[in-house]
Amino acid sequence: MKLTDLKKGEQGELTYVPLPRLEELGLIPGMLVTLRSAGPGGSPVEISCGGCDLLIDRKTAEQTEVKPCASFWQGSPTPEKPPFSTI
Amino acid sequence: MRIVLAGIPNAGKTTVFNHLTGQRQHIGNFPGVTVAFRIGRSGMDEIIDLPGLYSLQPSSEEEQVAVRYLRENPPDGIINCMDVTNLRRSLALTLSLMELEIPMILAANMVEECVPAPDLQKLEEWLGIPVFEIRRQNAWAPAVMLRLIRGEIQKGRHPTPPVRGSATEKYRWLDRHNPLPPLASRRRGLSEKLDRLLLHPLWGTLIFALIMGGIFDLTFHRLGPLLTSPFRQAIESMAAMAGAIALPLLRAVVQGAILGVGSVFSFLPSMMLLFFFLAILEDSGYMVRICYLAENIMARLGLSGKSIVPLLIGFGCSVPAVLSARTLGNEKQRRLTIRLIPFFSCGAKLPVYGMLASILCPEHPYLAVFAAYLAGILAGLATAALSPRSRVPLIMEKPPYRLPKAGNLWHRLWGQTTSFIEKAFTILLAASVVATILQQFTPALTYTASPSESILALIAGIPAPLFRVAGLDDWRLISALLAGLFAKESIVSVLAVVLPGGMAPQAALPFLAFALLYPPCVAALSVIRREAGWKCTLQMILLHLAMAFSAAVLLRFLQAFLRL
Repeated sequence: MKLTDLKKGEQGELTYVPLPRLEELGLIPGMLVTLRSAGPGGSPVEISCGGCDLLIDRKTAEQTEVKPCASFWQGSPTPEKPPFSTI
Repeated sequence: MRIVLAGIPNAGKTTVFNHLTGQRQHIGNFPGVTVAFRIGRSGMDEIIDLPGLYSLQPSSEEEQVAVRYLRENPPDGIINCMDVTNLRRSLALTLSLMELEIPMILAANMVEECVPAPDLQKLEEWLGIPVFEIRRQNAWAPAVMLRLIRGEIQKGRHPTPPVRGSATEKYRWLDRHNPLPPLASRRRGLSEKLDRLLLHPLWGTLIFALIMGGIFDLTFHRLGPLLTSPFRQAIESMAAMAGAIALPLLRAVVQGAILGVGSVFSFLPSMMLLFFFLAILEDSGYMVRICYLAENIMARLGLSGKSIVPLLIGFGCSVPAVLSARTLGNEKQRRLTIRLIPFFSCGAKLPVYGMLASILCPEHPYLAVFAAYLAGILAGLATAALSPRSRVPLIMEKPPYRLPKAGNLWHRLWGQTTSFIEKAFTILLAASVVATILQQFTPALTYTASPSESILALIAGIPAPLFRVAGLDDWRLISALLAGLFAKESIVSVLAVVLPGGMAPQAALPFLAFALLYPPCVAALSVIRREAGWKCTLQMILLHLAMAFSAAVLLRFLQAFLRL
């Protein structure tokens, strides 16, 4: 599902990251992210990961894919899972 | 030795740089680009404050320049400033910097606001790099920090990267091997509470409008004129004294130089005030929130939320507005923003609008002034909508709110002010001398007190027939517009001299349209040329001339059609 499909406050595990820039900022497949809010008109989207907050435009957020989870440990990857392919 | 400060954005490099160098710093530019960086000295060592970067795979022009510098001019040592409250991202850059195999130390910043307190000893043992803790109260910090990095350089010791490769591989390694527990800023909770209000679509926007309105009110209405008035009085006194010079040409040059210098220093206090308030907005973290609120609207125009700030500053003055566009990382968006700035009528045009509004709409002049501002904004939005777009994804960190540091504010203010003076001073001085000579001398180069005999009148008379279709074929109107190229407010003063009886109402509307849309002043154009290049500047001049002329002609025909 898309990152923007998460509900406010809901956590998801990244499965696909559309831009190398996001990877440089630490958003890598397997990472847990929380959707916090969206700006006026739905853009930008605010997400939380690794204890820090990021703003990304809606189009990029829609291209980012996650799978929902209810993990207690926010911002922590799950090392036992195999890495997913990224572009 | 040459020591570079490297770190992710907002890691506190500026604070460290200011502590290391004090007043012994200046702004430098990488050749061929507008990216500015600061160079200072600490003893015999040269300290370079690089733009912030997240990895050695650059995304913006600033990052490209920083990475190119590191690779092509390897420094003797690196002080890697890290924000411990953003440890994961900071360490990812540290791993990239380690690949350069240059002696390095870590300067751990924001330690006091970190929860829980980080175990820096463990960090040092894990990475094999000396870690220095920066504490606010530690006045000896700069000397100790430098001794540490010099020690690493002298021993020829550089860290061995435990992992090489892509950002993903580095982050996976960090997540698997980081011995420290998750760290966060103690300010995060308060920031979240503040953001519930400040990022609210309605209340946040209102608060933003109030803050910007307050800044403009203080800068251009209350404090600014108070600080500017002594300069203006001094300039006027000096120009009057210069009137006693017997030789007319020398008198014109001296008066022109005084007026040129005066015109820069007369609005310098307002500029410094504006820079000061903007620095507070940026250092406090509120600037990011402004971008958040404006992103959706700006994206529809092919811009980013960050563009809103330069455009709003343009309501004050185009010169600092163009300079502030440097914060936009993407070159195409930066140029588009710069192209739009002149459409946001600067403060110098207000007296012009006021004068014309009293002719056009004497019962409600404020409506006419408001309509003029609105027309400018709409013309700008139309230009943006018709301009080629390049979608640049918005990806920004949202830092917690922080109290701006006085030392940083001062250094930033000083740097921006000197940069502004350097850019505007020379061109304004030259233009002012030329304008004064043109107004006071006949084509035979004899002095004249009559404007109608001056070179300016002759020059203004040349294009006058072309303006017949716009109803502006009067050399007096053209001379006022020409004078406005040097300073917009001088349109009013020139018209007061050449048209003491006032302007004919039929000419007022097309004149307003032309004054609203024609090219900005010489100071703004010189800064635009430095920031965006000759090609962009010439394109803007032609576009503005075309739009101004077309609007004047259209309104003239409308007037004739409606028999106004």
